[in-house]
Amino acid sequence: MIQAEQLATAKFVRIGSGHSTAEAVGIAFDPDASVLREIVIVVLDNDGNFLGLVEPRDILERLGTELAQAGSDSDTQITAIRRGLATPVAELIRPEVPRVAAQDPLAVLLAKSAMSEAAYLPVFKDDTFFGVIPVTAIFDSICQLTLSGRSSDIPFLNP
Amino acid sequence: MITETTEAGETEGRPSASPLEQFSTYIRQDLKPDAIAGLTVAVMGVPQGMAYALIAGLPPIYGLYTSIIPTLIAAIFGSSRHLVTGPTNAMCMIILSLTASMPDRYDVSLLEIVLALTFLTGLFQLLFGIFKLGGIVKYVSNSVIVGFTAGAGILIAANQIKNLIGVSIPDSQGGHFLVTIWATLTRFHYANPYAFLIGGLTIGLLVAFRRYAPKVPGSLIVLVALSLVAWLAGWSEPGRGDSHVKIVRDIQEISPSFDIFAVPQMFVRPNLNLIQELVGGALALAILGLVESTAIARAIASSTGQRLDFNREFAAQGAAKMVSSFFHCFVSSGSFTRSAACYQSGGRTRAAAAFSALYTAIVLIAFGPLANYIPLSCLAGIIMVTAATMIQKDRIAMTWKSGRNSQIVVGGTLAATLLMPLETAVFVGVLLSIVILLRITSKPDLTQLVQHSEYGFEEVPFNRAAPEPVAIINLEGDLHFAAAEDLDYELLQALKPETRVVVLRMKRLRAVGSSAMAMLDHFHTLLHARGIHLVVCGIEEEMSKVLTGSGVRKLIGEQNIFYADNRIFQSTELALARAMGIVEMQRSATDSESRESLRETLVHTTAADLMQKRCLRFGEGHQVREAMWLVSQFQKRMNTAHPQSVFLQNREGKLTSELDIPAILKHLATGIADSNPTKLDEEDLARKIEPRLFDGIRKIARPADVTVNQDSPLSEVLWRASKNGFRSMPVSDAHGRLGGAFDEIAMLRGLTKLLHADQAKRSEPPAAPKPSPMQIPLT
Repeated sequence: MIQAEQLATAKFVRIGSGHSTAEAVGIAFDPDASVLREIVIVVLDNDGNFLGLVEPRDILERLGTELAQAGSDSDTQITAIRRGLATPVAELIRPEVPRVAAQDPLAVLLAKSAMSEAAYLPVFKDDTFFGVIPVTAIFDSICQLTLSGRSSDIPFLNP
Repeated sequence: MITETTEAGETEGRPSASPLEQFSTYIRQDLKPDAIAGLTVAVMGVPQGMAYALIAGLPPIYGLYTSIIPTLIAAIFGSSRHLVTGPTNAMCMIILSLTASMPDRYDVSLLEIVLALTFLTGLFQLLFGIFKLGGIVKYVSNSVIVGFTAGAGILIAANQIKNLIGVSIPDSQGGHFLVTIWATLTRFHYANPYAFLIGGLTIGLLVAFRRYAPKVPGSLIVLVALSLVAWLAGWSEPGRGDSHVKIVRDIQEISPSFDIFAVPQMFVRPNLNLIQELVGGALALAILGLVESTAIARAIASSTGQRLDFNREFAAQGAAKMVSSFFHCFVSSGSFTRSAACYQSGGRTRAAAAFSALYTAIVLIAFGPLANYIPLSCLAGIIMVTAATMIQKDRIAMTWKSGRNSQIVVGGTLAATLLMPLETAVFVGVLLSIVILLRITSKPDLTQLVQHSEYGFEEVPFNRAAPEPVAIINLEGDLHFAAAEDLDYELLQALKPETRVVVLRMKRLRAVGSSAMAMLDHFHTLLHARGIHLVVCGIEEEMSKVLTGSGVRKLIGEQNIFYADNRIFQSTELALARAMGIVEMQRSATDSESRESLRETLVHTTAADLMQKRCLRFGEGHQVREAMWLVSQFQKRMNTAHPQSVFLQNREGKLTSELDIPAILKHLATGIADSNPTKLDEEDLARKIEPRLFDGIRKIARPADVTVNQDSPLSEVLWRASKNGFRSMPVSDAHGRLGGAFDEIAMLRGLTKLLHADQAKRSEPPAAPKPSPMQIPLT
């Protein structure tokens, strides 16, 4: 039986809550990064406890909000981008992301993933942060469960 | 029956076998090899035992007792299959060194003093075993053992010259070995030629045996033969005056009796002053005995693959000494020669050592009276040959070549062994090792890290990195009080006029305490005075606690502290990003050129630079299951866990809506909305969501009413992306058809690239170097 623990991964970026968005972006989305990591930032407090997740969407929304206020002048746009990037990463934590337990079965994962638009769910084992599950992993498990052996009647891939 | 533990930690044979079956297996398989090995050990051990007793200043009979009782007890309770316990030359030399002058001072016989010492030594070892303090032997280094053993070998040999040449030294001129040697040499003209002849022959024959017939029990053959010669020639007869060759009987007669149990005097009439004086020596003997036994057991176990339980071995060694002190035995230890003989002659279990004890007891009872006729010069010859083997030239040479520190320890221990009381020499050696260790660790390793575009970070010698706004210093090693002294001023040497931020990587620092925190505090102050920021990284849990407790965390600022992670250099990368951010902030405040550069990049980066033509397009009339299959295939090809979007087109090819994985999952979850998901197994789950698979995708897709075109600048792209809520941004052409898309990762990567390009541009050296605004005094 598939459980959250099996789908969880630890390949993500951890960062302290006091760091800026620019620092987080610099590390998480470094085009030269040689190690494949999940595109999610795990924000921790001073004692290393889990605070929340920040996804690319959260960063883009902040930058978009700043740009919306800047208007069309490039100087004010630059200032807006800089201001957005200077935002402490803790302020961008995605609210109300459902937490899952390491032993949760696939049906619970599906139900919880449907509760938000989050692309990643944090997993906890004995109340300690354990890792993250990409919703793509849940999706993939459900595809295997429901589409297995039936792909012959699924016609095409339109490049 | 003695059970053994294999490397895998299992009991040999069948673990579930009954004791009777185990005994039967032992009789069948191991009894014969153990009995033969025990005989070999006894043949070697009888003359050694008597000779070593002589080293300790005791009559030879006590050497035989010590070859029986502790050997038996250690075999029963010990861990090693081949370790043979009994009298050893180094321990006997320490006994002599410790106790020689005590009988006169305390009015207690030498034997009783030695028995008290034996009991106390055993007590220390038993406590080491019970409280699992076996690690204490780690503090006695190889150099200490080599130096001490060589020194003890010289002392033993020097101390036996008098017996070898048959000269008596008055007690008043005994004591330190230099005094003994001098007294022996000044009496050389009194040498007994017969004793000298026997001693010389013993040495010559033993050397010949070792060279040409090493498997033959040379000691026993020489002992019997030369005793016979002395007896037949009448050299050992009393009444020959100066030509009388001293024999064992002249010290104390050996009787065939085995009535040796006696409660040591320390329990009957305790002399607290004596016990107090013996405690230090007993501790030294306990530690040295454990080092000796451990080294031997480990050396043999490395060949047999046996996994040893050292704490059990220590407890067994301790118990053996404590019990044997009630049987007229002196301090015993693991014997290298007899243990090696046990292993090489095929001994399989600890019963082999027990057999050797049994044979020695038989020899004592059956042939004890004959041992009275052994000439002391013959025993002295045996001792001198074995003492010579203690000066291990190969090990001394290897240790000497291992560097100056090893030379100091081995030389210091050797000198201390020759010039100081032996029990003190061991501690001197240990002290020297610790002092040298502190000296080595009193300076942490300092290097600098330079980021390399291809392979992460490059480590360069300290103060050799090219001048950069960010200096990354890597600190490794111990940062105890001695190491922290003046380190702050040393770190300043890495600063250059260009330096704006110092990143201190502290990942492999150990022994961090208040001195280290005081250093860090002061270093921060020194940097602050120069207008330089401090960022620390590689902070592990222990360091984090110390930073918090000392208040330095607050001083440095949480935003400047980066914690060690499982990925190497991750925290350094983060710290570097932070440092570059600081540099950037400082620059942007003054540098209008940089602003212009960013503006150019921002305006000239367009959606076309980020777009990929390859994206998921699908007719809007399909079912959910088809979209699921398509998306799952696309995800696999993209090799990413980040959800991708499907763009739906109408019959004219115009973009109408978008669908992504969270939306599909949300739709599927409606199938289990009325169930308790914790109670659903995978079969139930598949059955319940199946009807949802056949729904049309148009029903769950979101309208794509916000798009960008290929010429949209990055600022517009970012703004629109934040508005539409899609995970991929569609790029449409003038006719509303989908030209391609880019996802949010591409947008952020584009932004990062922009920032990197901007930073790189501004890092180029200016055409004419500007004078540095800062003068940094280098200390």
